[in-house]
Amino acid sequence: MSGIGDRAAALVTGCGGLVFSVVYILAARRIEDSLLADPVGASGVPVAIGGLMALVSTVLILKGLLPGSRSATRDTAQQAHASARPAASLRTHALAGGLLLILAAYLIALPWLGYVVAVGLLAAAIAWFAGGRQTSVLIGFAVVTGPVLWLVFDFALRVRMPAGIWPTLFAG
Amino acid sequence: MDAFLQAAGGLASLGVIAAAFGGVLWGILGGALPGISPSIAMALLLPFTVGLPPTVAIVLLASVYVGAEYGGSIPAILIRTPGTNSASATVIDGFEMARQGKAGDALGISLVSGLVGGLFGLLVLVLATESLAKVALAFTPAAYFSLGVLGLSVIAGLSGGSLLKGLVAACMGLMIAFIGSDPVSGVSRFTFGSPHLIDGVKPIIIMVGLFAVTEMLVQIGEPAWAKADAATSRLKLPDWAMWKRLFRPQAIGAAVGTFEGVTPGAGGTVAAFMAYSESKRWSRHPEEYGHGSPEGVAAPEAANNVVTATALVPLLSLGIPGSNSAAILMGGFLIHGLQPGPMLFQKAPDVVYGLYGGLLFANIAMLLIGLVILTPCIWLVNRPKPYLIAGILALVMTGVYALHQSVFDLALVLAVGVLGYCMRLLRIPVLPMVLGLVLGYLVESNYRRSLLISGGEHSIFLTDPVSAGLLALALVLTLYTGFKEFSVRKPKA
Repeated sequence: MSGIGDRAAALVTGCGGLVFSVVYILAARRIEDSLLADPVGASGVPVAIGGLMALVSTVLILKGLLPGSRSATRDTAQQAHASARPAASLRTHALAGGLLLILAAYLIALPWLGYVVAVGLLAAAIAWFAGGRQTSVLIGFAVVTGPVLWLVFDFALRVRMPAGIWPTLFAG
Repeated sequence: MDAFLQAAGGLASLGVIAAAFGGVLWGILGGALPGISPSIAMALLLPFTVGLPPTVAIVLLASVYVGAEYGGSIPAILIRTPGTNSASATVIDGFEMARQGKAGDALGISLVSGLVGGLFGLLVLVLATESLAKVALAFTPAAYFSLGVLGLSVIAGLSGGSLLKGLVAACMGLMIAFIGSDPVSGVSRFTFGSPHLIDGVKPIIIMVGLFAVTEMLVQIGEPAWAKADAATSRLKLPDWAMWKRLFRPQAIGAAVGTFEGVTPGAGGTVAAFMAYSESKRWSRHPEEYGHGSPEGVAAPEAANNVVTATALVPLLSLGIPGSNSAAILMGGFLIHGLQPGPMLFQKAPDVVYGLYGGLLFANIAMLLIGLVILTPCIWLVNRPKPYLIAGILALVMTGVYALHQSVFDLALVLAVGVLGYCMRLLRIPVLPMVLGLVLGYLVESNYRRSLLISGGEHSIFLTDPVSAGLLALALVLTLYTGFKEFSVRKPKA
């Protein structure tokens, strides 16, 4: 996977880390101590770690802003390389985002469609999205994946998987 | 001697034997797939270990590690694509041998060298771990805190060249570890009113998300790997003359693997390349290296298989996971309510000795399965990538749901997968985060207990001799790795 330049990565990591650590410290300071609290308190260590992260993030930001470092030299080369094929990088992230959407759809569908149908559809959808194009193979893959995994988990390992709306439909 | 006897007792368990064989089989298949590292192969199996007896679960996970190290060499030799990072050094001469029509010889050398390395590593593990753990038994809460700090001090070595990013990752891991009930007062922290977070975030979810989900998000954008030719690939074990030739590189691999394995952060990849380099330096035929030298296959394969056992020394004796795979194994211990470290030998000796016995079987299983697995591995490597990604993700989502029958866990594992993807993009190392996650409770709870004992005096960490020693060691380790980082970054004039 093509990443971003060193300086940009340091800046993004530093800024993200700084914002997150400030929010984290504010959240930690809102923790209420109980009567059983020790001298450090429930918020003591989290606040300290938040402070450490803020400090390290600030150094990372400075490192990203300082010119002339080795990372800056490497960054120039990497940026040149990245700009040579930006479409490939964008496509990679779009594919990852698409895969994530399919997985998120599975989370929503699971309680409704039940495990066997949902996981079969998940497998077929991912395979199609990743480049599988033979319809018959995709259907076969979905039909086999759901029941096989259900047999392993629900039947053999006794892990109860969601049945979905089907029992209610057929019972009615 | 007790350890050996107890380990022998562990061999009697059918469950352990089955776990060793099953784990090695899964590990070889996983390792043979480029992109599936030993830690990912282990992480995929982690949810399935929940219902298993602890010894069987731990042996299963450790055996995956053993199998994956051999499995990784199969595509390295056949299609010039290392199945695991540590098989990268095997590509150099292994693929050259394959091009010369000696793929079977290379695979045979890889298998037997892995076996030699694995057995040697197991011997080191059995001899070194308990002695180290006995020393650690004298630990007070202050010493445990300092042990946690020592564990965190290896972050520099695990940061892949960026100490600052490693520190950010470690802080994130610690922050996740603080979610849930406070270890002293019991008040809820960072749960935001969600009942799903009261017991904290299980390390298994973070590990599966960071390793397996992230890898699939990355792999979907990567090109398909090359195809292996089944017709010309037949495994051939070395004859006696070849064994004699391989003795020296295997010994070098064993020595390097031992040193790198017990050093947190080094791992199998560094060991394999160092072993390759050293065996070339000490070889009678250094000119053959890079042109299909059998020694060039034997040394790295022996080294990375030694690491599968020796990397467990700091984990079992001190509770410090020094590699991704050791961190996943630690997750396996935690799932079963076992905390790796000195007390493990007191609380669950059966698990430790069962693990020793299981690793012995895993190495034997590697030889037996390795002799027959080549055809299925070639079949697997040649499967269309879209179906492999789909199958793996279906398995991951099912396994994570099976942990608590919770859709919340699925959402969490996806969120962690996205986090891991962003970390990969920004080149933030994930291992320090895992380290922070698994050591967070140890550090915080013992820090606060120590201060309760001392009445708030921080000097307790220096007046306790073990604690002071560990803190000094942590300081030395930090300075050493920091110095190494600085000297690498400083451009030579």
